[in-house]
Formats: sequence, C-alpha cells, structure tokens
Amino acid sequence: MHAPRQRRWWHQLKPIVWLWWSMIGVIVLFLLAPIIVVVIGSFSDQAYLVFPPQGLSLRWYVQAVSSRDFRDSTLISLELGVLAALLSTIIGIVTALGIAARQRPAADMLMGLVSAPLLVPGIVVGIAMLFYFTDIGVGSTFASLVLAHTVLTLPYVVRSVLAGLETVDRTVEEAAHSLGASRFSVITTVTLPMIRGSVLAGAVFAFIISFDEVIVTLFLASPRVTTLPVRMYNYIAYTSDPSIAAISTLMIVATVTLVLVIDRYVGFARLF
Amino acid sequence: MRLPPRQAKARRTAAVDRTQTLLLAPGLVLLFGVFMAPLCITLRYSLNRFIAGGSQETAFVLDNYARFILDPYYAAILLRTLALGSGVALVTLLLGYPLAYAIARGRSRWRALLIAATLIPLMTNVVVRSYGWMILLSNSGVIEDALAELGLPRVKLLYTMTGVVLSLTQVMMPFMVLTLVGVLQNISGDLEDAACGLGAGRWRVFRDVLLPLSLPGIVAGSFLVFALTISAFATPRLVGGASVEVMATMIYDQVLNALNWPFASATSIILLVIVLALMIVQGRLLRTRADTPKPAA
Repeated sequence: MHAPRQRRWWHQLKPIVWLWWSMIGVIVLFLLAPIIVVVIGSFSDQAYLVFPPQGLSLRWYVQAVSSRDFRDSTLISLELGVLAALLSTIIGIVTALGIAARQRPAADMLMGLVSAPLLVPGIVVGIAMLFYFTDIGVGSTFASLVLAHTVLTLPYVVRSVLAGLETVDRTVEEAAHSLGASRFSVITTVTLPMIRGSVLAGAVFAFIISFDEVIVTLFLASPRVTTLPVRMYNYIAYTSDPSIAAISTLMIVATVTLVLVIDRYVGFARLF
Repeated sequence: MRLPPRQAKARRTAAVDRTQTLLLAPGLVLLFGVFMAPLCITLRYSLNRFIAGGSQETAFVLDNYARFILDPYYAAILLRTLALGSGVALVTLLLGYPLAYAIARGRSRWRALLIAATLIPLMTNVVVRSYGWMILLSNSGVIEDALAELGLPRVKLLYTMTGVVLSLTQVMMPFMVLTLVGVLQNISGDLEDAACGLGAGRWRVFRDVLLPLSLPGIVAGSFLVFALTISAFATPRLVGGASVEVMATMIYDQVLNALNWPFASATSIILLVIVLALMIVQGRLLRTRADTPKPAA
C-alpha cells in the first residue's frame, strides 16, 4: 500500500462544492467576457478587430488619442456632466429640503414625481425631448442636452440628499434657529455641512449617470455637439477598426478606478 | 408692533409654509417644463395624422395606435419585444440567483470580488459592452470557434435573436443580482442550517426555505429586468442589427428615418403604458405578499 500523497486543499472539497464554485466562475466569466474581449482586442495590430488578436501593438491607442472627433466629444461629455451634475445638485438639495419638510402622503407623491424620469423608458424620454425642443424652437443644442441631463440625474441627487437628511439630528437645527439664526442661515451653516457626504455622493452619481447616458443624448446630439458614448455608438454602427476598443479600454480603466475610489471614500452602501 | 403670541405663531407658520413651497419650485418647474411637457407633446402627436414626406396634420384620431396593434408586421414587433423581455428576465434569474446567493453568503474577500465583478459591468458603458458582444458573437468569433471545436454545428449568433438575448442577459444581470442580494442577505443563514439539521437535503432547503422567502426579490428583479429589456435600444440595435427589430429600435427608425412622428409617438405611448402597468402590477404583487399573515409555525 502506498502512503496517501499529500492532499491539496482543493482535493478535500466535495464534488458538489466544486460544481458550485465552477458554476459561479462561469457566471462571472460571462459577466466579464465582453469587457475582457474589448480590453485584449484593443492591443491588436490588425486593421479590424478579431479576438484573440494575432499580433500586439499600441497603434490604436495612438490613433484614438490623436483623433480630434473623440477628443472633442470627451470634452463635451465632461462639460455636460459637470454642468448637469452642478445644476441637479443645486436643484436637488432645494427639492430634497422641500420634500423633507412635508408630511407622509405629500412627500411620497413628490418623491414619485421626482423619480418619474427613471420609470419612463429612455427611448420615450429621448423622442419626447426631441419633439419638445424642436417644437419650442430650441432644437438640438448643448443647452437642451444640459436641461435633459439635469432632469435625468435629479432623482439620484434628491434620493441621496434625502437619505442624508434622515440621519440629521433635527434638534440641532432647532437649537440654531432658537439662538436667532434665520431659516436660510440654518440651512447653509448647520444642515448642509452635516449632509455634505450625501450631497457629494449625489453629485458624483449625477456626473456618472450623465457621462454614461446614451439614448436620450442620441436624439438631442448634433454632429457638432456629440458626447463620447454617442460618438462611439455611431462609430461602431458604421466601422469596425479597433480604435474604438482602445477608447473603450480607457473608459473601462476610468470606470474601474472610479469604482475603487468611490468605494474607498464614499462606500457603495450610499449609492444603492 | 408686537402681535399677540398666537397670531405671531400663525404668521410664522404661514411664512415657513411659503418658504417650503418655494423650495419645491425649481424642481417642479424643471420636471414640468422639461419632462412632463415633452411627454404631453408626445401624447398629442400620437393622435395626429402623418403626411407622407415627414410632416403631420393636427387631428384627434387613433389611427396610429390601431396601425401598431392591427398591422401583423408591428404586432410581431410587439410580441418579439415582450418575448425578449421574458426570455432575458428568465435567464438573468437563473444565472443571477446562484451569484447573488454566493455574494449574500460569501466570506468577506470572495464577497468583495464577486460584488466588483457585478458592479464593473454595470458601470461600463452599454455601448462598450454591446461592442464586446459584437466581437464575441461575430462570424468566426470565439464563441463560434469554440462550438466548432466541440464538434457542434456553427450557429449564426450576431444579428440573431439568440445573440440579442445573450448580450442583454449580461447587460441586465447586475440589476437582478443586486436586487436578489438585497433580499437574500435578510434571510438568516440559521434558517437553512436549521432545515439541514432537521434532515432536509440541499434541494429541499432551496425549494422549501430559500425560494419562498426570496420570492419578493425574484418578483422585483424579474419585473425590473423585463421593463429595462423591453426599453433597451443600444444593445438590440448593435447586436441585433436590422434583423431583430424591437419596439425601441422601431421607434428610433420611425423618428429619424421614416420621419413619421405621430406613429413613433403612438408606439412610445404604448411602450410607456406597458412599463407603467408592469410597475403597478409589481407593486400590487409585493404589497399583497407583505399583507398576507405568515402561517404560524
């Protein structure tokens, strides 16, 4: 009889446990597959994207970064995201304060109204806004994009600020008020500093939602004013060179970094 | 002038009330001016008559709705959209449940990794993900080659319904997983241990303990994924091309190519009504469950 060989830890797992974790592994692979393919494909040296790539190069990164169209769209996406986040944060704080001051049925109704843009399918919001802005003569301009993105990001800010207000000790506000502070200065010097974390989380989330938005923007964008995701959408629909994979990879790197930074400083519990 | 205390208080309450109403003004102006008004215009357009060439005539007719429901071509699009929603909801549930369970019961490091694996796709732009699927599903792409290696027949995946279901499943799965994690986390693991201790096998624990208790999450996740899927545009358009026409891609073509705004409006209103009806039904289902008294042990 041979002495039993040294057993590794995975030899001790029961078959069913093996099966379970392989299944989880396959599901995770499925979730990450399109992202992995884009990242690896971006280093291809071919003129069209095949996976796996035959040779490696950085030529598509060079082309992507030097493309004027993509640079312009990135700038527009950033400007739009910042402006929309700023506007919806200001309006969102005020709206949340107004809702928090109300009693139950009215507050719920107002919250439902604010959340409505999340319920309505993006394609419907998109055409509705196209019709509307055309009808009132504004047309597809940067201003209409800012307004549209402000409406779409408002629910996230209001929710985040309301969640913050719930943790605030109301007696502190009352104390400041009874010591002679006006309602306005109570809000600016007492309430807002106490909920600045929630306000920041709401603003960051608003920026992310705006930067990520495709469908409504697709209807309101013009050839001159086009955001990065819409530019990418149009590019993919007509061409297939890997420069889009390079840009996608840069976006994925930015996304992953943002996920890690938010988790480190804000915590995901706040956002979901 | 000093007011008697009671009057002064009443005046102050009125002032506070006015301030509170003013606080709501900017948000309400924005919502009515840039969201409700556009929807009303869409509803109005849907009753107009289309004039060939891209304009419309003011009218009050239901022709556009009738055309969408009665014309077999458009009725097929409606059915395809609903089938896609059901298919994707079912597959995300089957794949999402085990992952959500692994997250809810996992030890800290595995848990964090699995959550990251769920969040990174969610936060990656949908255009990027659809592009990844276009590469994966393309002719002589990895999936087709892998099937051929296994001796299976080559199936066309890009620009087919199967391909769209596959890619939308990946796009929607994070929503299902996060919804289920929320519910599964609140089910104490002790219940499963107790059932096990009483002699129940894994399957019975799942069927008689976990499944009934997580039903609200299953309902909420499935309705959410269904509603998001039937509204999806970018993935069906990029992965499905012209051969998998759903309501969203049809609306887009009607607005930008056929320039038939009344018909696009009517289709949009139908889509909106379906989504709102789903939300109401879901609300009812979950409320009835919450109201039913739990059977005594």
